Amino acid sequence: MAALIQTLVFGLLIGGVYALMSTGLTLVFGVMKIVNMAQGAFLILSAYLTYSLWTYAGIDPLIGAFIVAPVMGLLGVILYKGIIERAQRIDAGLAIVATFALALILEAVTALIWGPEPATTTPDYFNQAVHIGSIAIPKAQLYACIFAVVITAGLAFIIKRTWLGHAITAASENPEGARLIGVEPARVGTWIFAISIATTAFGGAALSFLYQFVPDSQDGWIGLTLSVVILGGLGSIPGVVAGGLVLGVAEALTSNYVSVQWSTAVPFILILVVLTVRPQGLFALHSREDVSS
Amino acid sequence: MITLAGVCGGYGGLDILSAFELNVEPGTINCIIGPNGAGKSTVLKTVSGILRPRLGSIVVNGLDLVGKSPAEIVKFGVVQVPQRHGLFAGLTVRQNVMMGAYVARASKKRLDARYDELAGMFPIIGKRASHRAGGLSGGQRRMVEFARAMMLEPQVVLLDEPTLGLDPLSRGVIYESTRAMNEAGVTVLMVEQNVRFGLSLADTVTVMSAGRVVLTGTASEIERHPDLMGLFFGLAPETDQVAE
Repeated sequence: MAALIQTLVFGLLIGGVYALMSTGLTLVFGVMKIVNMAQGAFLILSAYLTYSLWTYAGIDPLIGAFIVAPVMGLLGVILYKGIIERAQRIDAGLAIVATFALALILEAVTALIWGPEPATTTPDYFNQAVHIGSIAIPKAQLYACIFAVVITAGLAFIIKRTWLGHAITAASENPEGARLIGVEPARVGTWIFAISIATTAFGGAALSFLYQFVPDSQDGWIGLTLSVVILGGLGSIPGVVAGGLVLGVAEALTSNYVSVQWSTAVPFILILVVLTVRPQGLFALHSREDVSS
Repeated sequence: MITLAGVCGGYGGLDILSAFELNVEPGTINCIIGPNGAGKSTVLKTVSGILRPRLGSIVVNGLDLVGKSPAEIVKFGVVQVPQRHGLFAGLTVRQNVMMGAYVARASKKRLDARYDELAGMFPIIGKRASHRAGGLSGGQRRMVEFARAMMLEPQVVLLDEPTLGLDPLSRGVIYESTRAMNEAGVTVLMVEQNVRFGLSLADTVTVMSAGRVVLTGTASEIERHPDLMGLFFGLAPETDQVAE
């Protein structure tokens, strides 16, 4: 029984981190209907920036994330205004292709700067644990999960309680209706891209001390974050949290009770199941369809 | 006073409106009627800034709106209630109505007071404030859209086919609510496919065909005009006629 609880705790902690890593992806999709194929690359770039702050300045990754986040947000604005918005004006599909191209460029840039050797940060809490009875809670996963809860709750607060959040909802659901009340979807798009890329800084910081990474690790992370978003329902923040937790627990259970090799297949099996049984994901919202206005 | 003079414009380089002229007196209800494709909704979209006219001027109470963004036009006090899908299904009724004040973002206390005032005029927003707008019926959605349009105490409200898809009971509520908005000092410019409804509500009526005004006059003048039926069956007069 203790082993099962231990596995569930571990799965929930890592699931929280998955949710954090995927939040930016769901935000961009929810508002702009663009699957940002560069999400994994942004995560790895953030992890490398955090790694450099830790290596050269001794800054803890959890603190370093707050330095990396504004840099990533600014990069998001530049990339959105310079590439994504222009591509989107021509065709939404082209914008998705542009994000894929961005992923390849970012991967090449990170390889040029940091090289192909595996990197990781190892702060003090890296291999420590908190013990509650017979359950050991690894500090790295615990801190990363707390980080995930705070950042995701902050984002949910912005979306649910602020003018910007309501403008984001308005622009994502009904761009012309939003323009009629003075919300400019293009301006909201810039904000959302900046916020979503900035949040990857926090996911990247967690990644930097939970995993080893190389520039092409982004391939695996885009697959995982996409799985979380599809599981939860495209565009939904509560959905991302649920998707992350389900995936984390499923992976931990598979790893412990089946085999570690099979755990890597879990995201793809879950995607297949969700797309077959509930294609809209766990948290998609529905409106009445019997009315025209 | 709303004055559109020589307005030409449309979509993708194709003019829907050709030298369109319109005058609406302040404090009145003006209804634009006409067959499908006449360009009625295009008129409202050019006034609200969604479409930029290629030529002409649109002056509301002394300010030329051509070139202004939709946000600037809303801030000036000209608000459009669109034909369909005006609400944001993921927001509550209260949040939807409050978004009517997005361009001003006044203090919460002031906005709350305004919301309470509007709840007297549109009871649905008081009763279902915390409900998600996506769950409302068509008539209820219209009421929420009207309340949202009134949040910033506008000078002009543009209504695009307010009775579209509604049952007779809901049409009655729309009638009363439009009258109430007008009695609160708002100039109403509406587009309506339901000619009988439009004529019963409006002080003045403009009949459009192929992007131009073909008749204008009071509701009773237009109702009695011999060309009215012909216009709706494709027999437009050869020259512009004014009933007045």
